[in-house]
Amino acid sequence: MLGSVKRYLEYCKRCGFCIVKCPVSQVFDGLETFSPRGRVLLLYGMSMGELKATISIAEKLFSCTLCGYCTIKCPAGLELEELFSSGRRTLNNIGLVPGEIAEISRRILESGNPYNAPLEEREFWTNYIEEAPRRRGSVALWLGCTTAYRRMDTCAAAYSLLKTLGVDVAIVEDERCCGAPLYYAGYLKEFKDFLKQAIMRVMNTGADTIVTPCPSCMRAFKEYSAKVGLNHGLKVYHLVEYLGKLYLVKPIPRFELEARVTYHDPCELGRHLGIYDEPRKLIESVRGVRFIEMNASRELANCCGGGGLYLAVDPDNSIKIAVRRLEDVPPNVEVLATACPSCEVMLSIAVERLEADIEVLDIADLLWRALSK
Amino acid sequence: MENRSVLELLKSTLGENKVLCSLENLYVYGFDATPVYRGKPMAVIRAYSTEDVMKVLTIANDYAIPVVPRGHGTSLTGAVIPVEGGLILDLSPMKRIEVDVENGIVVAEAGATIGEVNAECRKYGFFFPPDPASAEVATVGGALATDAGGMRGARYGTMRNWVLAMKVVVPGGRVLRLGAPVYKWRCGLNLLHLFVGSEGTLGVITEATLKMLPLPEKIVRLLALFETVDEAVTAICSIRRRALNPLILELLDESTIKSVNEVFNLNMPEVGAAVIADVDGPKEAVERLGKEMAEVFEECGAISVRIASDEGEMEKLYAARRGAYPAVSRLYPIVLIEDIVVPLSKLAEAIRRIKELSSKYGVAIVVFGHAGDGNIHPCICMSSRDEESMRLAEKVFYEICRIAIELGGTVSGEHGIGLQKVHALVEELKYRESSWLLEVMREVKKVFDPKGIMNPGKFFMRCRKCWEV
Ligand SMILES: Cc1cc2nc3c(=O)[nH]c(=O)nc-3n(C[C@H](O)[C@H](O)[C@H](O)COP(=O)(O)OP(=O)(O)OC[C@H]3O[C@@H](n4cnc5c(N)ncnc54)[C@H](O)[C@@H]3O)c2cc1C
Ligand code: SF4
Ligand code: SF4
Repeated sequence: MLGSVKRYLEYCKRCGFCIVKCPVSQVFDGLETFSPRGRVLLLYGMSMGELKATISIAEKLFSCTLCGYCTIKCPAGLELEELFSSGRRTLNNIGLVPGEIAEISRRILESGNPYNAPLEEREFWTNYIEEAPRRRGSVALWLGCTTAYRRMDTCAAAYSLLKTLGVDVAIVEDERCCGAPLYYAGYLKEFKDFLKQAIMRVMNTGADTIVTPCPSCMRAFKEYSAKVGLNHGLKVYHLVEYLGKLYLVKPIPRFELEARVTYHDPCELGRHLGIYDEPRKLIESVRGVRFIEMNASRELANCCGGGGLYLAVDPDNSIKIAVRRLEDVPPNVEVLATACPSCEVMLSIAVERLEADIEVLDIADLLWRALSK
Repeated sequence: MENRSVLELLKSTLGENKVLCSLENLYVYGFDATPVYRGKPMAVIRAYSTEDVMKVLTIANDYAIPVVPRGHGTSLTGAVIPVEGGLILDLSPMKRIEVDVENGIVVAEAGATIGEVNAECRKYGFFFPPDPASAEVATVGGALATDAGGMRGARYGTMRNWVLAMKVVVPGGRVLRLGAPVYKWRCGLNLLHLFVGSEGTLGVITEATLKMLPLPEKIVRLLALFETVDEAVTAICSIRRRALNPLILELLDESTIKSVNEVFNLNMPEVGAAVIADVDGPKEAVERLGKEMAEVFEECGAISVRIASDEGEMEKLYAARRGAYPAVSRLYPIVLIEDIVVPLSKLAEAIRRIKELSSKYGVAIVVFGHAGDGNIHPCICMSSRDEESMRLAEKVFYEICRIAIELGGTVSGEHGIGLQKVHALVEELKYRESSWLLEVMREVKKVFDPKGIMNPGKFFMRCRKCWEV
């Protein structure tokens, strides 16, 4: 495979514009082999037969959050995180995968989620809502593993919000991992199997639309599906995008909450999916909220450190990146909102580390709290 | 002592984590931003402090091991390629920056980028004037060692004009404190400026004290379009003669405009040349200066002149210049960028002769640059890196250098000599009947670096492996 990207790799001018803002490069004090330019050179070396593929090189390619900051900086227009994903696949095909990545993938294959959690726990969140959730409807709420197991309140808030707004919403029976982590790990065949099952489960609800609070799941359904030839015809939205659309046709309910709020753009939702305005509009729709833009926002938002399976590969540095991201929070902010369960987890860990007086909330939680109030 | 033992000694002196010997590290640190050169160090050393650098230069000098100081490796001349192996001394971890508002100075470690220095200055309402296009990534050490300039060079010159003092470590581990943190300093020979532009061949810069300026109250930006490069250059010369004192004065030729249109759909009229100019200062003054400048452009035959009305439009007018390098990067896998300077009166002729070369050899040459100070960047663009194409590119490269020399100019205004322009430097000195200056330079080097360990094989030392044209 690497031979086929050789020509593409030649377009890298080694200008280094990509290295400075790379979150992983930063925590390694600019060490080239942990920077995007270094990764491009490692791929180049292997494609030219000048470097032998090794597990040590694989570790460098997996030490990347796939945040895409490098891509927006590249004057040569190289789609870098895409290149790194394909590099991971190539290395995976010859058995070069870091142990942590192999382990997480094994867990998904065996238990249906990266946490090795029992399937029945996936719906524990339903204890937070008053009535049993609906299983059939025209809009399927796909929660994703991290939201389901790690952010139960967000599951409840997302479901309740949609229901309250009159959406014909259903949750997906027997939901399991969509396969996105397998895609990032380079197990393409296994990813395809998982995504195929996920699509079938969504279709069993009778829905023609998927709404999800997880940007990774969204990309799996929306982007990666086409890459593995799964053309499902379902409409796919992120929760904030869907709510934003809904607001255009429905009167906005009376959301109210007194708080100074800022917003962290998740890399996958922002740089990768281009969704920047909807989350801001939703936050600003809440009466009483004072929205303060975060330093380094929108396309230039710094990463939370959790993407691309980096948390699994190098938890210490991954958390360091999250802690650095907190430096971008303006003073006197009370709520740090986001729209990705992984970002929420990472930023919450960082807040705990720094003992910062700030609450990290998914927008769904923020809105639900404002509505219930 | 064997290399392996030297590495063990380095590890025990600096700590294992600062001495990297894995194959992938040695591979990756063997490149810079030139498409031609490659090298392989025996180890990469990561310096976190001046003390680290002192230890490295003591051991390297004792055992005569080559040392190549490295910032972020954005050199466009092969200056940071370890042609003779040895140690790459990576200064990028040294990033401390301190702004001293009262004295109008900023102290930065070698690994801080120019962009980071600027960001820090901005917090206090100041800026750092030199602005290489690579500012976001170029380090203070690298920019000083290459005497980098940029667009604001039309007004502010290059790095040497903005450095007051430096901490430099020389082979043997001795620290030189050159200059002083004051705006005037006259104590004997100016050794401070000797190290500026020395491309890592004398010693290692670990810290610099730089001047900064208060941010201007307002900037006015103009875009003028011309039928021909000649007219554009006439306008540039005319502006230079008046008391307009432009901040930037940039030229883009037709091939640049076509490239940015093709890649970024800018829809710019594909005329012979475009000039982008900025003036800055107090609000009332710059508005008047902007109008006067527009009049000069019109007098010199501009087809159209636009003055940006707001920040958004300023950005738009600038898009073509900013997009010049990215555009050629996207269109061609191989781009050899030149850095010649000619007297302003010869600029039009230089560009005309470069265009003739382009037709003669059938090679795309895109020309843009800081025309306000006669410094242009012809880019030789190749679609393939096969041997024949690379030979042709090298041939054209040297012919362009010769044009600059013959017109009374120089082969490098800001990028430096590195490996790429060794022969061009020799030719330039010969043309000026000053070949013996190379001898002088060699003698000067011996004072600081008697064993010749600092960045060997570079500009004034004939290199076995460098280009033969
Ligand atoms: C896209 C692009 C645009 C550019 N635009 C400009 C421009 O507008 N103007 C301009 O002048 N240059 C430009 N350059 C060239 C380059 O960026 C500059 O020369 C820059 O200053 C080099 O900084 P660096 O940190 O990357 O240095 P490196 O490339 O790492 O090193 C450059 C030289 O400096 C030496 N060196 C580095 N650090 C030290 C130190 N601490 N002590 C002693 N020697 C040291 C090295 O040995 C080498 O000889 C551009 C380059 C690119 C890729
Ligand atoms: S920004 Fe693009 S061209 Fe420059 S070094 Fe990075 S990948 Fe290469
Ligand atoms: S995707 Fe993000 S983490 Fe990965 S190399 Fe690019 S900037 Fe670094």
